[in-house]
Amino acid sequence: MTMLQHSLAVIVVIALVFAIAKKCKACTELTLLLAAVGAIIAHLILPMGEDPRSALPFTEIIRHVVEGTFNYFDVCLTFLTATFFMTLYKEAGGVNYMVRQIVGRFYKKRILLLLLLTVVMMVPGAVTGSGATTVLTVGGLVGAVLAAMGVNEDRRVALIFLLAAMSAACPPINLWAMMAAAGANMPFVGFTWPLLILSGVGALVSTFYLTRGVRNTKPVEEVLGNLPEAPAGWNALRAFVPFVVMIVLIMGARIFPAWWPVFGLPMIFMISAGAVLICSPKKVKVMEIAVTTVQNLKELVGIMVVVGILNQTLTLTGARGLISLAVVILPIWLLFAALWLILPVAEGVLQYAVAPLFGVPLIMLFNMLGYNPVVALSCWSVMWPVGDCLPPTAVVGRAAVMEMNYKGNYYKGLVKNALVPMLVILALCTITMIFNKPVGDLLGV
Amino acid sequence: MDILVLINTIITVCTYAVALFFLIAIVRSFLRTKKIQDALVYCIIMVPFILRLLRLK
Repeated sequence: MTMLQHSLAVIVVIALVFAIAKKCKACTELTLLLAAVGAIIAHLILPMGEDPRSALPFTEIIRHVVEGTFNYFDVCLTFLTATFFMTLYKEAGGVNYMVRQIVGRFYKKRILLLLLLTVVMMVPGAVTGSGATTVLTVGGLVGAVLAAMGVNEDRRVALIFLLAAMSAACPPINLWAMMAAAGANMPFVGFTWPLLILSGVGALVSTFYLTRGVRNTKPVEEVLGNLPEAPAGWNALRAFVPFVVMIVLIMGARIFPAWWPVFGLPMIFMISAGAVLICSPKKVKVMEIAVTTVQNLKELVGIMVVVGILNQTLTLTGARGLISLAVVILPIWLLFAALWLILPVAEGVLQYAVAPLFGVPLIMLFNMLGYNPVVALSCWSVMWPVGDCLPPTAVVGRAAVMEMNYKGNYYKGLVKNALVPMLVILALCTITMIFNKPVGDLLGV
Repeated sequence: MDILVLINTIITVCTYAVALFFLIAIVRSFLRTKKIQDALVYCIIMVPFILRLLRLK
């Protein structure tokens, strides 16, 4: 057995274990972990041909697994702290205050109201990188406003999903781009504009397409009556200070890099969370909110830890190289023609694991062919979250259904209504990917 | 520059404190869950946090 056949056999074992574990109703995180364990066992048992590697003692196997858990530790910490910040803000009543203010002032100005609601939906995902967080923090409230505006249930849940997906793609935190860039040893620099334009256009298309033909006929008092009250004491200053703190800490490092301390995103979000506690007129149970945050993010953080292990295992066994090779030798026209379909479907199966598995070899291929990898990766990173409503995982789609208490048919309601905006987003990303060089020149990346 | 070094040291210590804070939250979530699969996922998530706090990795 040659090394090529060995790696191929390892991939087959991974696919088999994955399929069996899924059949046995194991959750995605455990399925991926079992696939990684299966790969290690296959690597130990199967012969490695004429070029055998050094023997792999038990301690080395443990070392590789542990190394793997740390691959995305910083991303996990960023994710947890950002979501903690947003959950704290929500529990303190800040989100209620913001939404009530927007509705109270702009309810009769339909376009402005929709634009502001889109911004409200984009913020949590933009700072946390998670569509599920967007749904859990502001999805219910924005859904209530949309219902008051007369948007029907199917369209409403589809819009909440699409905005959550686009918010996850929105900069500064796009986990797919961060994970793929980290795997390809590529600095996460220059992504802001391409990600902002693609996700922003996607969000606006979704909002205005799914709210077409709707008129705000209810009196504003009735709409406000259906929204939860904000705790007494909130005002504009208190509501904005935590975000100002966050923006100052992020921008400070860019404007004064020579003498600004290196905070790192996790600390920036924790300091912003501290600002929420100082500004909040209501006392909140900090540890309870941290526990809620962990419970809400269990799947996503779990997947990132396990994907790290799987990635390490794939590298150890040579399977990652083989996958990369398979992607790199594909004709480029095929990628341009099929990625719009492959990426969302793969996201539905693998979740964030898709970024290091497919993103890294794709970056290398595009880089090798002289294309602009920053623009291309930005396009893929907006296409991936579109698949978050697809089975078997459908994390964000399911979160939207639960949060909105949606009783309709998932496919005929949510997916069917979201289909047109989804296709527009995928087409936009594909066109941008094809014209990556002129777009890169235009944006200066 | 000495002040910056001092500030960065403080930030490093705070980052460990943040890791400890979330480890406590993960342990609490682990103790509350009644589902075996969830408990296993919490155990896996705990690994990097514990090793980071023990400064083994």
